[in-house]
Amino acid sequence: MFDSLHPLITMISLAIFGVALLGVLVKKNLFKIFLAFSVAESALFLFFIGNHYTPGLKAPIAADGITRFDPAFMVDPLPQAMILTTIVIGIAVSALGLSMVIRYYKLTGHMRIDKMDELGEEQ
Amino acid sequence: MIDFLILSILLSLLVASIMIVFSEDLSHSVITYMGFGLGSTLLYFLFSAPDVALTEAVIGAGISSTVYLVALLQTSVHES
Amino acid sequence: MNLKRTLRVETLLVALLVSVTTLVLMQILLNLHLAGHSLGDEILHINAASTQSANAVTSVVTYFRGLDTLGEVSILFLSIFGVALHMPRGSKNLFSYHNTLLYIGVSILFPLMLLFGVYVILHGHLSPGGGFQGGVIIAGAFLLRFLTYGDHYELKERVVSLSESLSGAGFIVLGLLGLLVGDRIFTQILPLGTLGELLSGGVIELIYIFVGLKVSAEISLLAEHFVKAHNV
Repeated sequence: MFDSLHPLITMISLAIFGVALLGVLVKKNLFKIFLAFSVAESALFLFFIGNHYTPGLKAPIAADGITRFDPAFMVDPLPQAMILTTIVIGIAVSALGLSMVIRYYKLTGHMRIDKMDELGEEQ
Repeated sequence: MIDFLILSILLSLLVASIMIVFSEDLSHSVITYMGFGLGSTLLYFLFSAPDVALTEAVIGAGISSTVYLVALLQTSVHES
Repeated sequence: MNLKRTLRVETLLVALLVSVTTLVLMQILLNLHLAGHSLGDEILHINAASTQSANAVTSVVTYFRGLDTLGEVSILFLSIFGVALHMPRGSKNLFSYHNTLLYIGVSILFPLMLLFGVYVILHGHLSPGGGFQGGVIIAGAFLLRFLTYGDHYELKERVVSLSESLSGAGFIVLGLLGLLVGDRIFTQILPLGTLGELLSGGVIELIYIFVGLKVSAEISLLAEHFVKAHNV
């Protein structure tokens, strides 16, 4: 149907992102919201790495038999380096959010966003 | 052949994300999220990005499971 | 009846808007040609001459975009700082049961995991791996000890904070030395060596050792703060 993989990768990762965004918007549980944010982040990484991959190209690492760096047979190293650091940052930021969720649960006994009334009643 | 493999893993990741978002039990969501991390590790390896695959494997197996499961232990499992 | 009808019209409008936006976004994303090499080409061409590192991803992380890595390490530090503020470390471990099988397995695995983490950090410029991955492997070894030993095991706070702050300071000093000696921050100040040997790549290996120390200390601290609960 398509001549390369890139449109399919784009569509499926956009679908995963949409499902996760739907979870963020629809779900009422704070834990589920943070989990859905992590899934959306992973979909973004998949989009970024998958669109810089061309079938047949090797990893940008000189190993046995490869002693020369040439873009004719190696993939682009720049997006991989960016995503590599972003994954580590992502889990640290998720941990920060989850620590706030734990703190909120210990203070109030629930973690639903439609029951939050610490700033006064809405009506 | 490798295109078929990549597409099947991507579609299973889509199913896994639907299961993560729409399951009632939060522990099911967390365990499925671990499976999501495993699938994306395989996918990064197939995209010839072994550095990213190693990072995702280590983070998903070691730290992500601890953080989410301990947060679940200290709060409630049921969504509601 | 009337209320139900307005709701249905609103729902239809929102669904129409969302589908149109999705189609436009998908059209934009499908017409992006991300795979065209531009900057990556240049980096691959000058990589062998400027760094002699066998792993091009490593040389991008530490040498070509070193300032970026410094910013990301500081984001990591800030978020761990926030976790430590929110969850003060208590004395009771959540996993305080005795399991002989886990005990024996961890006492065999712990030194091996430390060794593997150090190997991954030191070979970051030769094979897949580096400071971030090796640091998280070392933190995973400490996490296994937290799961096994229960209340009897805790990190020495002075050692952790000292290694973290010294490695962060060393990272910055290395960048400033590059600014003093060379023309830009994080430039090469050491001899390059030959491609494929352990002592090659110049400043790359030093930067990754500092990043590995810092990441391992921070993620171990994160695991300890999560595992040791403090009753509010």
